[in-house]
Order: sequence, then C-alpha cells, then structure tokens
Amino acid sequence: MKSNPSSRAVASFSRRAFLKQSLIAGVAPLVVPGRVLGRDGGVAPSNRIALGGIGIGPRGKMVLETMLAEKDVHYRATCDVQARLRTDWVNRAEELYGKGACTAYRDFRELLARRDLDAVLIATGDRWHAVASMYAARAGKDVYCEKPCGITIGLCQSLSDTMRATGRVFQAGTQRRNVPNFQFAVHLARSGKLGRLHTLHASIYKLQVLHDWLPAEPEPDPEVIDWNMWLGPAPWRPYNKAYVVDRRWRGYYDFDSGAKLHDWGAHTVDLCQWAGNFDDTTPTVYEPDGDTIYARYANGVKLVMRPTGWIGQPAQSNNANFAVGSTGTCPVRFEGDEGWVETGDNGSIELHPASLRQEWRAFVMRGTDPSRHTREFLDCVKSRGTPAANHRVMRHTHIACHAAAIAWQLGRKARFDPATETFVGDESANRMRTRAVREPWIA
Amino acid sequence: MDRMKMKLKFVAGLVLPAIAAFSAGDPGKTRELLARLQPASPLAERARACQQLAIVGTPEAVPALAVLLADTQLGHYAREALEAMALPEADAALRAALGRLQGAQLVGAINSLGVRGDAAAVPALVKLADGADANSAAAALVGLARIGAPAAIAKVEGALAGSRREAAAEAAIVAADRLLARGQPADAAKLFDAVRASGIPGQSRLSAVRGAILARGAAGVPLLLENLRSAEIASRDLALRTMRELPGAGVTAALVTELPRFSPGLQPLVLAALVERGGEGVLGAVEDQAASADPAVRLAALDALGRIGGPSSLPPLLRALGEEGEAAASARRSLVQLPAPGTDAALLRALASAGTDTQLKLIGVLGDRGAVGAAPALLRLARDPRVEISRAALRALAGAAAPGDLPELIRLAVSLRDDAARTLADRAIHGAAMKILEPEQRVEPLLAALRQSSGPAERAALMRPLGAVVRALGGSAPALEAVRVAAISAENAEREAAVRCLADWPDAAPASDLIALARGNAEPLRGVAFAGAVRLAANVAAGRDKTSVDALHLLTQANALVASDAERMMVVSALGHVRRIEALRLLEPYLQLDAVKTEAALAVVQIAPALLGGANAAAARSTLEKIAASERDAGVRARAAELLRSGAQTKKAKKAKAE
Repeated sequence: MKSNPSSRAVASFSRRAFLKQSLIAGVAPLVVPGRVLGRDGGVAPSNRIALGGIGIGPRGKMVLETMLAEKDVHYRATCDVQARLRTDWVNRAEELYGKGACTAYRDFRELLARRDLDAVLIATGDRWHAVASMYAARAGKDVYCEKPCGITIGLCQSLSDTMRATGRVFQAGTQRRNVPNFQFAVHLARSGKLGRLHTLHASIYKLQVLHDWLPAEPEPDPEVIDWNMWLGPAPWRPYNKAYVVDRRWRGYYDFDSGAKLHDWGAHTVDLCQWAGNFDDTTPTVYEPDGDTIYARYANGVKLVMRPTGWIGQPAQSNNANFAVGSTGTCPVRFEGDEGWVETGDNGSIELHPASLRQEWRAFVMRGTDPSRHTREFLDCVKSRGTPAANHRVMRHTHIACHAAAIAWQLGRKARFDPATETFVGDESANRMRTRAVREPWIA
Repeated sequence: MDRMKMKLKFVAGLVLPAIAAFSAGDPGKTRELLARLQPASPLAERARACQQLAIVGTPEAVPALAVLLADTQLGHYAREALEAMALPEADAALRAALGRLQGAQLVGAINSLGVRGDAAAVPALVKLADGADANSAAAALVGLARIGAPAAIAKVEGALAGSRREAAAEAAIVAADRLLARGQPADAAKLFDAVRASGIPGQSRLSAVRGAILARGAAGVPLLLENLRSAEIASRDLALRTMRELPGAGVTAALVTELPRFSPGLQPLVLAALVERGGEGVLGAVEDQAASADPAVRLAALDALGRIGGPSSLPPLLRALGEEGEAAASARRSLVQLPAPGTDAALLRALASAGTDTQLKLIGVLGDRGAVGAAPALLRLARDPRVEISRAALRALAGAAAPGDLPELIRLAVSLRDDAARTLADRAIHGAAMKILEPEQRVEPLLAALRQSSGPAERAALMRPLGAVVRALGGSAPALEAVRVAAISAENAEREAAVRCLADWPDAAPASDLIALARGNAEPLRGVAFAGAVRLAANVAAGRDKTSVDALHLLTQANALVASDAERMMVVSALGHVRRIEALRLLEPYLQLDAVKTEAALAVVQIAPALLGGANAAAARSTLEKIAASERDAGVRARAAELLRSGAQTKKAKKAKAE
C-alpha cells in the first residue's frame, strides 16, 4: 500500500542520485570530516541520507527523532501494520519537509524496493527485527535495528552473516556503547586501571516466559491493523488488540527474546563483553541460580547476570534502579583485583579506589540518550565505517544472552562452545538455538 | 571473525545435529505431549505441545507432527518442532511433505530442509527450483545454497542464466559465502564471479564483488581498486567497506601506495578506512596527507591523527595549529586527544618559541589535555603582562593544576587585583582542590593559606574559592570554623567576604551565625546575612537539608529582623514549609499586609492540612475562612474553601473517601 505516491518528485533529489551525477561530472563528494559529513548547517543533497522507518512505535519514535534532528537526514518512507502510525509519521515528515515528503507503506518489502532510500530504522517488536533487517540488507539498505536484534541464536547468526555478506552498515540499538559514563567504565576495565579483571556484572530483568494466548477477537480490517503482517515470522495465533495496541507481546516466548533477558541484557551484557575484550566470543559455561545466571569465559573471567543487588537498589526491587542513591537503570559493574567500577543510566559512577575518578575528565555526557549512537550510524552510512554496535558485536552479545536464557529455561548448567556457537553435550539446549520462521518468510 | 572460527561454526552447523541424533529426546515427555497434541485439545495447548516437542521430542513424535504440516493454524508449529529435532526421521518427514504441501506451507518445508542442510533433499529441491511456482522455486534455490552439496551448488549456478536469475543470484551469494567460510576460496571465487558475470544488478552484484575480492585475498586488490575508483557510488561504497575486511599487510601497503593517486574526493574516505584497518605505513600516510593541498583531505588527516597519531604527528599538527580556520580547529582537537608519549613536553617546547596567537592556542590545548606537567609553566604565564596570555593560562590551570600546585596557585590568586582574572584563578583553585582524593582534605590547602595569611585582604580573597570547594563538598566543619572567625573581623573587606561565604553555605550549620550577623551589621551585610539565614532555614523546613536546626526558631528570629517587604516575602514564603501552629500565627498578621498577603495566604493553605486534623484545627479553620472570604487570588481562595470542605487530607482519609 502506498498512500502518498507524490513523494517521487522529492525522491529525485536523493543522495544516491546526486552522488552518481556528481561523480560522473567529476565533482567528487567529500564525506569524512564533520564539515563535509553535512553536520555544519546547510546540507547539500549529496550529503542527505534518505531514511525509511519500519515499525516506528514509542521506542522507535525516540530513536527516529534523534535522526530527524540531524540536518543531513531526510525521512522519506514509513512502514507500519497500523494505519494510525503510518499517518502519524507521514504527518511528522510533512511538518519537517513539506507536503508529499514521505510515503507510507503497509508492507515493508515495498518500502525496501525503493532505490532512492539509503538506510532504514527498524523498530518493530523483537519478532521482526532480524528478518526485516536481512530483507533490508539484501535490498541494499544500511540498517539501524533496535535491540534485541534476533529472538533466537540462529536468527542472530543469520543476521550477522547477512550483514557481513552484503557489506551493509549495521548498528544495533545498544546505544550505551556511545554513552560516556559507560564508555568511561569500560575504559577503566580495558586499560588495566582495575587490575586483572575477574568478574563482570550485568543487570537483567527478572526472567519470565509466557506461553498463553490472549482471548481471540475478530481480526480488524488489514488496512487498519494488518494482523498477519504484525505476526510476520512469528507463529500464528488468534488476534487480540492488546498485542498490537498495548504492546502486550512482551514476555511471550513467540515474540520476546531470551525470557526477557535481552531487555536489559542486550545492553548490559554487551557492555560486559566490551569491558572484558570479549567482542569476538561468548562465555563457555552458564549456570542459573534462581533469578541469577553465573557465566564464565574461557579465560576464567566471570559474568554475573542478575536483577538485584546493585548499589542503592532497594532489596525488594525487581528493577527499581531509579532509587535515590543508585546508579540508575541498566547498571553494570566491573571488578578487577585492583579496583571496581559500577555505573548506570543516571550517569553516576561508583568506583574504588577513588583515584580512578581522575580518569573521568574526557567523559561528560550521561543517560540513555541515543543521539550519539544514531549519529555514529549516520556517519558510517556516509563513510562506510564500522559502527560501535556492529553485526559482529551484536552477534556475540546476543548469543551470550540467548545461551544464558536457554540455561535458565532448562534449569541447568549448560556448556557452550563459542567457536561453533553450539552447546556441548546438551541436545535440548541445541534444539532451542533456533526456531523456524513462519512461512513464507525466509531468514 | 577470523576464517578459522567461521569455518568451525559452519561445520558445527552441519555435523553437530547429526551427532546429537543418537542422544535425542525424552520418551516420557514425548508421549505426554503427543496426548496433548490430539485434536480434542484446545488449539493453544496443541501449539504449545509442538513447541515443547521441538525441545524434547523423540522419533515417536514425528508422524503426528508430519500430519500437522498442512494445517493452516498449526502447520508452522509442527514445522518448528521438526526443524529443531536432530533426527533423520524429521528430515524424511519434511522431504515427504514436499510432495503434498502447497503455497506458503511448501515454502516453509523447503526452508526447513535448507536450514537442516539435508543433502538427501537435493533432488527434490532441484525439481522444485524448476517448478512453475516462483515462490517455492526461489525458496528451493536458497535451500540448495544452504545445503551446499556440489550438486546443489551446480543447480544454483546454472540457474543464474535462467528465468529466476535474481533468486539464483541471492542463493549463489549464500552458497559462495559458505564456501569461503568453509575454507574453499577458489570455489567461492568461481561462484562469486559467476554472479558478477550474470549481469544481475543491485545488491547481489555488490555482494558478489565483495566476495570475489575477499576470496582472492591479496590478489583481490586490483578488483578492490577498480571498484574504489568506480563512477558508480554503490560500487565505491561497497569497496570502502570491503577494504576494511580484506586482511594482510601487503594489502595495507598497496592501499597506502595508492592513496595519493585517488581523487581528492575519494581520499578522505579511503583515509578513514585505512585508519580503521590500521597497520604499518598507515600513520605515515595520514601524516603525509596532513600536508595535502586539498582542504578536505587535509582535514580528514588532521582529524585522524588525534586517534592514531604518534610523536611524529606533532610537527604537522603544530603547523596546522599555527594557521587559521578549520585546519587549526581540527589540529587543536587532535592535539587535545593525541595519545603519543611526550606530547605535553613537546607542546611546552613549542609554547616557548611561539608567537602570541599560537601561544594562546597551545595554552588551551595544555589545559584541555589536563597536562599536569604544564602547571609550572602555566603559573608563570598567568603572571604574564599580556592580559590575554595570563587569562588563558589561568583558564588552562583549571584543567592542568594538580593538588601540589595549590600553594602557588593560591598565592597567585590572592595577588590578583582584577576581578575577572581572580574568578579564573578561583576556578583553577577549585579544580585542583577537587583532585585531592580524600574529600575531607580538599579544603585543607585553603585553610592552611588562611592560617598563614599576611593580612585581612588576603583572607578576604580566600573566602570565594573556599566557599566554592565547600559547596562542592556539601559542607565542612573546619572551614566553617575559619569563616566564622573571619565573619567577625574588624576589617570590612574580610568580614564582607566571610559573610557572603556563610550566606552561600550549602547546609544550615551557619544559620544562627547569620541571624547574629544580621543583627550586628549594617547594610548591605545585614541584608546578605538575613537572606542567607532565611534560605538555610527554608531548606531545612522543606526537607532539602537534614541539618539538625530548628527552622521555626530561626524564622521567628528572622521575622523579628525584617526591614522591607522583600524580606517579609522571604520569611512568609519560608514559613509555608513549617507545618506548625506557630508558623500559622506568624503568618496571620501578614494576611492584612497588601505587599505579602497573597503569599501569606498561600503559605497558610500549604500548612493547614497538617493542622486540620489535630488540636489546632479550629485556629486553622478560622484563618482559612478569612482567606476563603477575602483573598484576592481566586486559586488560593478556592484551595482554602476546598480545605474547609474536605478537612484534614491525611492519606488514611483520602483512601477511605476513595473506597
């Protein structure tokens, strides 16, 4: 469905078309320094990234708005299974760029077929992230994909392989890689300031898997809510408005990721992987104990995934990291034999010894703001550079989270071989590595 | 990821399921789940049974699951189970289903066979790849690519010339990428080249170019260069990504050699990619480009030196720093970041011989680097007769000065006569003091200077930086003791500085001192002390400050000292936080005073809820009635009336009302 075909005229000024013309004319584009990346005010068409959005709900809005704030972005196409959101985003684009600036689609394949788009933001529910990203890459688009990027180990592997094979720029929405207080904590760990690292701590939600179906309701007109497209690669089940409108898909085995472990874990385990220099591997052992999962890397460093026990966190809290005195949501803690550091979303840093604080000079921003992360993605779209949360980083972080969640679901210790990305001597665990995507979608 | 690891992962994907086939499933649970799978069970339960069979199912489950493959609602659930089971029976069931399934369900079964890498399915998939249905044919080509057997690959390659060449190209990329991962670069290159030769446009062609370059290794450099120089932007972009992946020192050397021969438009992009690659020769190439005649190339190089630069990068950066415009700004950023050892010393050497403009920039760089070793030089420059130099040095000392520099910095600060310069010096003192590791020690250098001071003017000058450090600490008993002494000095300048310091104190510890100072001083100090006392009392009353002082007592004393309507307003506003009958009584006279009556009424409305439920309810109601009847602000009047109607708004009362 295309609700606004008039945008073809706008599309004629695309970055791709302009670059092609200018190269042929011998006026080569300049792309790398900030000035020529188009961040200093007036942005020529050659430096404007034509962006499409798929499944832009509340989270997607936060991310997309940081992109729309950039002068070198032009939001040209939006796709959603809900008519209301299609209209909202066409209106928003028209506010920014004028009438006819943005076309709406119900089927993302039509959006991806547009040759004038450079990149897409994928912010659907988890069930769609990997499959939509792979379709986008095969259509020649760069991809910023919200986390969790794949609801099984198999999908994360396929996504990473596809991004590698197509040579597209990929950024997972794990924006804390570009938030300075977390960067600072990682800097302390990686530079040896904490001594020899021995334990990394990642906060996670209290784990949960739901299997029930909400009561069946009559399916709406697909023009209003396209239920079959909403389900996409996930297993069929009867429609209920709450899944779509209230986003009550969270926690469901069919729609969410890793027993909810990825909700925070995609961020916090990712930071631990980075801090320990484990971007190319995963832990080898996972042992659940209640709500906590103890993991260990091949070199002996421990990774503890736990919902509670953070500095300043109330004892009874599942995720009350907002409490006064805490470091905020998504806390991580890195411990070495000469010191430790703990930080979270409110930007405060707890550490020992106090002298480590002197390293803080260069890090000023804090919080969960994804603007630096999205800016890095946009810069890489132009320079073809490798963003911080690239497909390789995503692969290993997400697989570590999935392996931990599988061990928790099975309720037993599981050994994992990072080289083959399979469990060792545990067939049930291996069977849980992948789930068939619903026909006709291909992963 | 290195080639070996990719290979291991690929092989494991094929082999491990087969090994696991000999230790499959849980017979007891399988039987239980098969019972739940019967048509009489609710649909959701049958779906869930399939998903559990995926994890624990034995061969016994396969026939029941196979029957469900054609079911429009449960077909995918059954396939989810069969696709996961490491059992040859599951392969056989999926193969058998190919003949009876249609449409999307047929595509699903083909996908599952591909995921499972079922070599026995190749003949059936070859047939489907030639079938009339485009969707199942495309799925069959991808399935064949995933299986990767020679016959499967041959079929995919052959299809590149057929009517479904675009689907074949996508499949061929999958197959070739797997060959490359499996350590068969020659076979991979052949297949990638076949896609390139097929003339298929779009992403498949780009993926094939990438693969063809990588499969050739160092021999892929000519193809890489060809695409880097392509007039087609997509090819150039693809090459820019691929040059980050192609390993080898020889490749790096070739690209470094080629760098100056690229067009100026391309050079910044290639430079960025080279910086990301790293390796021998890259730094030298970037330093060379820092002298490029092309502004954009030069900017890219200057920016890059901040990330990868070494000692040899200092000359080009310093040269650029001495210029104007973007090159200087870029060089400044890079000099601040430059990780090379000896940078601070080199900057100091340059500082000694530079002209004033460059000196100013160098001083800023040293400050932003937090160059502790530069503090002595900066302290010298802070006394320079050139005002711009001395101020820049003072500004830089905020970053560069260390605790050990504090005595000298304090001596300098107290000697300054210019207030703007002294403000900068105070900031530097604050910056250096806050670097002292033990918080309680951070005021000590300033207190030591106070003890050793030569006179009241010097002590007065120390009050401002001392207050700044105390505020950062949230209070300090030894500092308070020292400031109290200064606040009763016979010398006006010292007394004024100390009273101002106390008035800005972060906690209420000096509140009583300030009341006494308000009584004992003339204007303007009286007003400063009064305002400070009321502010500190209000903080305590509002719960923002936990210092153990009686806010009501302080405000009662302050109330006796008010000398203007502005001061009455301060007291009235602060009383609004004191939920006691005494506060109400202090407020009542103000309800008649035009200048503050609305603020007083608001204060009463704020504290009345705490009084309406107790022994002083009648007094509170009486005051509220007056406000409800005569207050000129409609909002305040309405709130008073509402309180009179609803009475005490305790949580308990609210809850009872709600129920």
